[in-house]
Amino acid sequence: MNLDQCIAILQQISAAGDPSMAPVANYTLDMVRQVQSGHMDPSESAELLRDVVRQVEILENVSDLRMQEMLHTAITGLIAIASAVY
Amino acid sequence: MNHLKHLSLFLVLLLLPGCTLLESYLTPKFDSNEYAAITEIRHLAGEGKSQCATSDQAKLTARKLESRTRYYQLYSEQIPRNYNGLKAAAALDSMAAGLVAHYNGNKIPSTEFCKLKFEGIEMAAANIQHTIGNRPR
Repeated sequence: MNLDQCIAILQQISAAGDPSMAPVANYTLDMVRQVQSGHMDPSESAELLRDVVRQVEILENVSDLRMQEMLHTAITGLIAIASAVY
Repeated sequence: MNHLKHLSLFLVLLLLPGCTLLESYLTPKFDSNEYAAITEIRHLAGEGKSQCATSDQAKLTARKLESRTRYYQLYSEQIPRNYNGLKAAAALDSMAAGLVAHYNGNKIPSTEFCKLKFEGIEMAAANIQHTIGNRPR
């Protein structure tokens, strides 16, 4: 996969507008632009790339918790509905 | 048929509190100290982003930020059933540590690097904050 393909995927994620993933995609696109402009040295670019991996790791772990919280909301709602029926 | 419907609804009613108990056992509850800690990290990262033109000030904020992310990681460690939260806290601490490492190096980090680093930490902290804020009370 080349850089253009990577950028295309990031633009797709950005356009999809997921509230968690789109900001990370935009951030990565910003980073690529800055690296291409030559304002950063290689060690800075490498550190920022590591940060993107960490961002995704955080999102993965946070998403699991969000699913648990959604489950909690759904069950609470079901109880409320069932209570109203009886 | 109607009796069967009532019976199934009654069984659901009996089962739901059990599901809620199990679910609430599996999910950490909202913790105001944890929420305050991640809010401070987000706030500090936002401040740091605006200080990138003055490297001394940004360096001080970066060090303070790393101290807070380390504290947050330590705080997360002993919260029961918080495996995912702890992994997120460790990743956040690594981000802050990487920023400080660059400020401790021989070369002053570039303004662009400074802004992107602080912005990334701010965004990650906001994602964690959202999750913690929505935990069941």
